[in-house]
Amino acid sequence: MHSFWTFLARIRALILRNRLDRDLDDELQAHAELLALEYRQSGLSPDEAERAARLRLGGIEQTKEEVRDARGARWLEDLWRDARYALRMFAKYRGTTAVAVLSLAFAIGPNATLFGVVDRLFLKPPTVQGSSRIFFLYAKADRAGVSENPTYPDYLDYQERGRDVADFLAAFGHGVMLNVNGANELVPIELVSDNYFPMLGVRAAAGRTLVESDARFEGAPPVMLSYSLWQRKFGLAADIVGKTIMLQFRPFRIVGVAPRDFREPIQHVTPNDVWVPLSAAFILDKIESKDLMQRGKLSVDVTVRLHDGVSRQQAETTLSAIATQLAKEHPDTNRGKIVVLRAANDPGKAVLGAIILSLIGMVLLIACANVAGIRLAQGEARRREFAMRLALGAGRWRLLRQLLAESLLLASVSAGLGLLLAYWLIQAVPAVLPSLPMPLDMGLRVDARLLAYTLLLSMITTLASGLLPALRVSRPDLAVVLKGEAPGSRSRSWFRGSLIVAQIACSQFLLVGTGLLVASYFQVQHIRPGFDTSRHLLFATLLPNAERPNFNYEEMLDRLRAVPGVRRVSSVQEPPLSGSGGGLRQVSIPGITDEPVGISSNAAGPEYFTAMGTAILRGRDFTKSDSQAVAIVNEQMARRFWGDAGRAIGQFIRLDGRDRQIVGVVETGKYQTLLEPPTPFFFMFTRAGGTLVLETVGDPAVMVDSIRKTFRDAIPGVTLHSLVTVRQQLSLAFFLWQSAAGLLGICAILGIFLSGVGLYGVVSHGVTCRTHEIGVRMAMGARAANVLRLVLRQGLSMVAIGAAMGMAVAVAVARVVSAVLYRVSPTDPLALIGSVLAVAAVTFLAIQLPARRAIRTDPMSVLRRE
Amino acid sequence: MPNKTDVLQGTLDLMVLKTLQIIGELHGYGIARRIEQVSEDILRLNQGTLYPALVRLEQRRWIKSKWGLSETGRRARFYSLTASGRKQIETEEENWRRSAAVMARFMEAQ
Repeated sequence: MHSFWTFLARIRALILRNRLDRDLDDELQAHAELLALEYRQSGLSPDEAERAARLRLGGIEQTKEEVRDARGARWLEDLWRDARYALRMFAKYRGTTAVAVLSLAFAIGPNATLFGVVDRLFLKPPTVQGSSRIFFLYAKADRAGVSENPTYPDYLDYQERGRDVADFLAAFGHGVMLNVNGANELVPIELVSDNYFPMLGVRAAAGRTLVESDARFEGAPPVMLSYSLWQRKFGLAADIVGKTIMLQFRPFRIVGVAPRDFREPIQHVTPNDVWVPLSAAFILDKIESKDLMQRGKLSVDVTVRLHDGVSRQQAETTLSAIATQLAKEHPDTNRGKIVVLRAANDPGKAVLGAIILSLIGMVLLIACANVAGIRLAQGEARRREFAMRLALGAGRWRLLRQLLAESLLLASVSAGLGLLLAYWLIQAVPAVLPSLPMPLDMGLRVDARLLAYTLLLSMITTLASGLLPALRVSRPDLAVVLKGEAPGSRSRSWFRGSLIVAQIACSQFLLVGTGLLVASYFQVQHIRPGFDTSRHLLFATLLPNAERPNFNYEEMLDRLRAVPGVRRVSSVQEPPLSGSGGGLRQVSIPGITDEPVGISSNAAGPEYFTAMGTAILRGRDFTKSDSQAVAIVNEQMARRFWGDAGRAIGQFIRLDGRDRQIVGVVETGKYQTLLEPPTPFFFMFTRAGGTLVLETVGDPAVMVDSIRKTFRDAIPGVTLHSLVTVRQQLSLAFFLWQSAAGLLGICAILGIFLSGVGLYGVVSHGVTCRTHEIGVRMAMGARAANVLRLVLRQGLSMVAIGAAMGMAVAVAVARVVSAVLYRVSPTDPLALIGSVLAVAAVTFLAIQLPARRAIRTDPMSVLRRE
Repeated sequence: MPNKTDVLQGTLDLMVLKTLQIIGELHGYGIARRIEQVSEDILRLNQGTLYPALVRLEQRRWIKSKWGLSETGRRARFYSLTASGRKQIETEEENWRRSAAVMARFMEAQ
């Protein structure tokens, strides 16, 4: 127990040390006086008494030191002293210190920001109980087959029969209209099984979570809100529990709010805003709510949490047996016989996150190399000071500690500035993302994890930028330095040279990567997604104002056609490449297939393909007089089932028990991602698609305002959810390349900029060191070219070596990830030449000032300085 | 095995505590003189070594101090025992007695 008091006493001793020192002095003086008195009383003269007293007391200074040691916290005192000394040093070398701090801050800031993004997307585990035992359940017909998501009745069977190995949860994600204060908004919703929240052990931030009994609700169904919804729509109102909200125009009763930063096992891109029980499925449209409860129709996400001690293998075996049973019991809907469990904490995501962080980490390393060079230069300028201290008896360890303390202070200040930068950058991230169908609240914040990561970065920075220079600088050749001669800087310039090589190599690597990704991005732009991307089109996604909105679809189309500048109006259910609608419909082809086949589909209105500029290979487009009895297939589907496009016309496909005749064959397009292989696809006819396609005469962007106005004034009953051009619509599809190229580009720009600064420092320093030599050579007749060669040779050879290394590594890595590079070879000449030019340009700029300074050396003044 | 310094420190600590137990309140000089007296000058400390010991004892709250005036009229610190200090004395005395008894048995052994 006394060690606790001792600790407190030591802190107090640290804070009050000046006063305690004075007190000790008084105390010792008093003691000495009393001793002297004793000696005087025994006959000594006052002077002799004094001397004897001091002798008896022992060395006062020594005693003080020993007391200070006993007081403890010595090392804290030393650190404090080191810190004050470091500040004085920084004030003296203001310029280079500022460069160092800024370099590090501009590297730490983006690193911290990106950690926040990567953490949010890839690293943070679900905030539920037992997240390490949580898996997602998929069934496959055979090992290599397509994944088949279970449907709700399957879930019930698994739950009952698989009770011994795991707990089961089911969820169905969708979007609904939330109506608050008269404003409509589309929000992500999750319909969950009754045991969802209790099983996951989630504690509500307000009110309570949905519990088992909520599934059997009466009257208005219960709903749970997300924290972010509570915040942005209700201002964290304290009386939120018990309020009623309108979801899809039906009243729901709020029972509680999810905790802040709630992360469900299933991570959607847009986190859920509301949760309702699966038994409230009527909230979906009629077909969907019926299909949800039937086997083999709509699939649900089944999440399992294995019981303690059950391994994934065991669970998969048991569940596969159940799947096989189900396949036997329901042969026409269930084909999956093998169950695969995919971990919620996917290590693949962590690896991806680590890769991203190491790319931006390269920028930090480049900055550290700069700072290491600066510290080395500062150390050389201070060599007399160090030599003096060593000569006076300071141990090398003492000097090292001082230097490391300086590096630590430098890194800490930079980290602080970097955090400010990160805070600002985090606000800017949402602006950079493409517009998504639903509002994306990434919830990026400077939280404890980010702070911890930044702390880790500053530790690494301290060591990376400070250790080696400190080791080198604390070991000067005393005799040489004290005599005032220049130290042998051979080994030092070798060290700084290798720093430059490393920096340029990293920058070159990043530049080549960026070049390749940018080249890919341009190639991807040329992919024809099944329609003419240069057409003047606007996509208007509509949301109903009420459950049965009072509006006439045809009238709306007419009103829109009447707007000047609108050439044609059509409609479609899912806009192209919107990321939704990946579901397979079970289609059978009479005469060709016995079993139904799963094929993706969409639905379109009259003149859709004409408006989109899709090539109609055979037959015709949909027209006004068509009905549900017709369909249009793509060439891939025609070829697959009937051999070629021509033979498909007039054939039939059977869907939902009805036969539909094929009236047209269109070109095969891209439906989910831009890189997908050609897939069979078909279009049903709809008279009232959810998205309107407006073909305009001129630039569609110009028409946006007038279209909006038309909707506001002339078309009641619907709200415009979004109104976008083709480019904006496709931005989601391009998002991967845009972000990858953008990210790598930022890293590359920062990297090459920092490398340029480092190169400038090294060359400039070299010129300064060799001023004397240059002067002498010039006096002996050397011309500007010779001087330049002397000064730049080492620096440029370092750049060349670094560039070659960086290029080689980049090409090697590109070969490995060539899947991401679309139609771009890892040695694409444009990318390589471009990156080399960038390095050359920065190098050229960096050497300007020092080179000029070298040439302008006045030989006379140099010689005179002798 | 505690090293020599620790043993020396330990014995010095106990001597200071005992001195304060007997005398009551004393300043540094007084404690040093008293220890020398009791040990009949066998222990002639460098009196300065007393002060680190006093700091340690005070940190552990076995003694407390307050300012007063010395015989020569100068400001000086006076130390006295605390309750936990008194308890510590008992503990230490017990330890000493026990180790002395063990040693005695060893010395007598054949």
